[in-house]
Amino acid sequence: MFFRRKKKNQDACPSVADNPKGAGCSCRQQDGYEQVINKSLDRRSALKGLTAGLLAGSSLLNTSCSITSNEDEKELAALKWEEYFKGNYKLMTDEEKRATVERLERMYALRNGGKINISDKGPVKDVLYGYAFNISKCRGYMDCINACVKENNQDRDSQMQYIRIHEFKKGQMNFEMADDNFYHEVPAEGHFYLGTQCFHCDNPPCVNVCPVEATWKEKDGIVVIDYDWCIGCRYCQAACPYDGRRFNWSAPHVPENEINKDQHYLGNRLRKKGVMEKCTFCIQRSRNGQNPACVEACPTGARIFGNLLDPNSTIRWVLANKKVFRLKEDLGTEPKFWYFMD
Amino acid sequence: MDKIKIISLLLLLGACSNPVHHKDSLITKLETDGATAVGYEISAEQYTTGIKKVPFGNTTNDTLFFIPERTSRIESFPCNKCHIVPLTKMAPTGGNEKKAHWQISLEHADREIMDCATCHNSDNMEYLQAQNHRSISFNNSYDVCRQCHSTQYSDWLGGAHGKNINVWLPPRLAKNCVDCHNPHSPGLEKRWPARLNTVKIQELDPR
Repeated sequence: MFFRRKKKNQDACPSVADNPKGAGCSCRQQDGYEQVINKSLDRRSALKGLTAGLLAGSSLLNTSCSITSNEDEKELAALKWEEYFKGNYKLMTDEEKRATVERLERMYALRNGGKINISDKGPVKDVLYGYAFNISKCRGYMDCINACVKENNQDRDSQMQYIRIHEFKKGQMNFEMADDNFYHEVPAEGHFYLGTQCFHCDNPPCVNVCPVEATWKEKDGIVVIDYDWCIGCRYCQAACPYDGRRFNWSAPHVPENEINKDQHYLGNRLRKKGVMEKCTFCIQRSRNGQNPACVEACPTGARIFGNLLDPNSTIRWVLANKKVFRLKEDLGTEPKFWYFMD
Repeated sequence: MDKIKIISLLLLLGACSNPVHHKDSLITKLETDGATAVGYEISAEQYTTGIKKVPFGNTTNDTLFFIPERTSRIESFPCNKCHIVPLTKMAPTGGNEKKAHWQISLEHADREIMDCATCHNSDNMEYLQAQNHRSISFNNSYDVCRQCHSTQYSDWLGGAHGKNINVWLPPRLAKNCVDCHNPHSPGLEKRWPARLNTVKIQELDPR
């Protein structure tokens, strides 16, 4: 078995080497979808032809049935068609990334009439994001969650929230004894508060289980999801030991006037039914040098964010000078999210 | 078949002696890749342009970080708009008229330890003062606070206390003590959470 597999690898790689667009192959075994993607050039040009055919067909149909049909509808149909057959974001070239982002922006404009700005900004060099949470400071105000929902266009109908704030009785830290549904003035006497969200593990178990590689760790350590590649199997949700991931059981709905129009392809752009989502350290903000929305909103300064590779950063000072701990460290997931006390 | 056995044995041994998560531990990565200061190729200046900044400290050394300028945000500054005579000569007239600063009540330590003149320089109202009567600018009010709150001060210098404004990218811009704590009543208040969690919202408003 071992030898047969190796032979298959050797066979697979040259074909990728022939194809300059076959980015991402490091001579490991190729998955089915990679083989498809590596052939995508031919397929895509074929599809382009098909699109033209479809356009001709649909416009003929439209014009024959309705006089209100217009250019916009035709354009939308063509964009939808191209979007449907695009590849995994991880494997796209810069031009392809730009193209899909422009298509998505245009589709939004055609559908909703407004302008959104979707970024495809890559990781900043020499940056590895890290987060620290001060459990002596957090007072359970939940301002972070408000800011997060607003920033990241989370579904208002199902009240999706990436952050959970757990209320513990002082003297223990058993999550089964924690109250997440507290309904009283905070902070409650004799209690402390601890927030969890996606920890952006350096060794993320959620990434390993994804059968279609729709989720991965970026160079700057942010674990991201390609919402258009996700098939909604929820394996990642089951694999995450920290309850970091959320699933869209229904089509997410954000009122038009509340949509945050500064978006990132891997971040807060509008999701659809049946895909996973989670905290991305506000990738649309952090890659511009801004703090995530939760950090900015926290009125107690319990949330600290920065570059782990910068020895002068505040996050590094916390790691070096405070007694820090992480959750379930024995699992070896290496979360980039530490807790500490004053 | 023998070859396979040997190879799998080797693989097994390798796996035992070197667990995946220890080999490339995050801490090792920080110690090696994160040993030297990095030069950033991006700038986040546009996110703090609206904020008037002053460098932290008065030393000529390298500035540690910036804090927001304070004096331009104090409503009744400069104080000599009213305080043109020394405080002792501004004694209350005894009438029933509304006093200046009537809205300020001091909830900081107790009155036997602290009164207005503990922090405010009664000889020169433009300034705060230290225990040794050194004048301190309102912009550098942290110098007043740190006389008692030394732990919080060192945590603030490092970044564990307080918070950075808008950006994580250097240059660091951090809130001053008085940007979060009202110096006359520094404690944070008990209040209702800004939002409830998913389950609670659905419980209270089932659809």
